Amino acid sequence: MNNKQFLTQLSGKCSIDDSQASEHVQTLVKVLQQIWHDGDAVSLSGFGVLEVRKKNERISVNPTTGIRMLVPPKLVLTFKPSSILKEKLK
Amino acid sequence: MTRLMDNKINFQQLVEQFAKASGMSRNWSEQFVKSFFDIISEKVIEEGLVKVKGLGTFKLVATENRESVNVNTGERIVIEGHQKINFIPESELKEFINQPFSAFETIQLNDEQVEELARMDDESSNSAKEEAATSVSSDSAEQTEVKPVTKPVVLVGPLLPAGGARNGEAHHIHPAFRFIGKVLVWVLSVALALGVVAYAVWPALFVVLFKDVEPNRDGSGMSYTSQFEFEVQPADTINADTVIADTVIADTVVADTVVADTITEIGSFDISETESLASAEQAAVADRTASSGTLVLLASDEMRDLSEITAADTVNYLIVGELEKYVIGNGDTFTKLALKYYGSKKLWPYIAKCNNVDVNKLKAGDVVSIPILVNR
Repeated sequence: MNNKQFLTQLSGKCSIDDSQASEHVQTLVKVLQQIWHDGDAVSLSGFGVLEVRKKNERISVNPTTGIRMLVPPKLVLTFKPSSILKEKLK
Repeated sequence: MTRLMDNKINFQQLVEQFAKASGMSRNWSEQFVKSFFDIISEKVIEEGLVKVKGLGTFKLVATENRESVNVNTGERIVIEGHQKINFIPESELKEFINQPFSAFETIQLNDEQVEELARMDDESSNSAKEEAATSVSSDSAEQTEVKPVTKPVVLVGPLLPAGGARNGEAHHIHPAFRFIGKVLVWVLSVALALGVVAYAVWPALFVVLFKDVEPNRDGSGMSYTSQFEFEVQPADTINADTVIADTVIADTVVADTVVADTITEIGSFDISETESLASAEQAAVADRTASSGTLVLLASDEMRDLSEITAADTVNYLIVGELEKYVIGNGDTFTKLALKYYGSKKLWPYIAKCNNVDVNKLKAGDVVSIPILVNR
């Protein structure tokens, strides 16, 4: 399902047109970004947790050359589905 | 991967924030946000893939059967293949999230640096041990302080037969012991005057010594050596487990040498006995130091204090000023500096951030500023 189909679905549910849906999605993403920027997690029951986690710096080795690299620490956005959602998969 | 904060935004809070940002009514916002996530979770299961512009892709991924071992029984079990939901954020979002660390690039290491990093890992795990040892609550600290006093008393029973065999010997050197006791008391009082650290440490030794003199007076035949050796062993293991703050050790070592010297001058002890006495003192001191957190705090410098505050995580600190300038020498790295100034090498990104330099182009003689970090 691509973004266009997604917007159509969303606009149908909320009785708005596609371009409005697109705008609102962008607003929602902005809100989410701000939350993650502040270091908070978004926890939604029935869906899951979207949160920023820190990956520590580490030394990685290129298996063919044996060259060691120091990979810097980074922040990543992770999604952990809720158990309800996982249950639906079975 | 470490969690940054435990603050969780729930559905209601998210709706509130969205309503504010979009200017729509609360009811409508609630419906919108709910539909947004409902469609994602519904369609990802139905169609296996949902792309949302600005956010990323939710994808259904199949895992294969894999073998594993039951940790409790050691039994081999098969974890059946199943489907799981993956989320891949859009690269723009990824970059936005990683902004605080965006300045860093992967660095190629030579062997020397690899060894260095490994060594620093050891050190930091040691200091973690130290912190664990010193963070004993005051209650348990008092309990452990009693240890050196009670232990010899308990041990008198099992040691008696051995002591009895050396009965005459023990009586023979009895007056010498008393004299040494006096000398020790004198040395102790000098040491007491040395300062708070010494003051806190020596009474433990004091008590240990007197517990030992007493059985001799009664003629029960406890010899110094046997009792002390026994005392040393358990205490020594504590010594090995705990890293003692440098200044404390330095103080006690000096004091110990004084004691040892006096004893040798009197000449009624052979060297092994003096040594065991000295190590017993050290052990008692170690015991004491390990059990009392305040002592270690006294002995450690102010940066150590900061390390307690700054130990946790990298994104939670603000740079509020400059602590001092540092001239880079040969073999210096930001990780080393971070370990030196904050007690944790994990905080090196802050030094890099403060200086805005290319980590790979640093050379000896460059001046960097060390930032002051404050918990957010």
